[in-house]
Amino acid sequence: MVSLNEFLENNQAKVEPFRPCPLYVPEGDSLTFYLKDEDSYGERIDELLTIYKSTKTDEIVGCQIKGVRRKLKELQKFTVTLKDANLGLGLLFLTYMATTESPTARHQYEWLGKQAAKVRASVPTGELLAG
Amino acid sequence: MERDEFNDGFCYCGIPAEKYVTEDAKVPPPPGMVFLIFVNKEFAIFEFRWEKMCKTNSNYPENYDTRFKHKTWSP
Repeated sequence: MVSLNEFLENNQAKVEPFRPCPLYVPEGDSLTFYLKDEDSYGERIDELLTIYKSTKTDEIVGCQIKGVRRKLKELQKFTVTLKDANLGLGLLFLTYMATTESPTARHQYEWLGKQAAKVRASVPTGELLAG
Repeated sequence: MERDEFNDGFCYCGIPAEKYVTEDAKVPPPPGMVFLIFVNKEFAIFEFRWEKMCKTNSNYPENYDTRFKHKTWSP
């Protein structure tokens, strides 16, 4: 049997330089997006949005949105169909912004959408629709 | 957790003795913060992070009373 240390030694992941890239986590139906590689803490805005702030400066360095699949199903009610291989994060933030009643959350989604557009952040549509 | 489709999930909350800033370097936990680990009903971790602690109950994060249903376990 292989020990945990041996397993970790033999399965070392290659560390690549940071780039702002969203990560969809199906186990939590949530999407995490870091704009900067900084030590951070979470600040929950509402039940769907958590922003990550820099521990040093309190500047926003990322976010997590929850209930992504459910939100995409809401889009289908408006006959919006996802055909491209990738979904721009800006459209996702816009969808969340359109359905929140919280002015704070709306402001954050708008800001996040602009940041996502700057780096052309997108997520594979197949990941979001699977399962 | 008080969240649609994740009502059977759990959040583990505490203050670890140390915080890793790199693979090898660790520092004391940040003051005024608690560490949270979220798992779904299959106990798969889908999120972990530091958050500000509640001002009236330092064992829990801010707004814990509206975010979670009840305390399930305590040492």
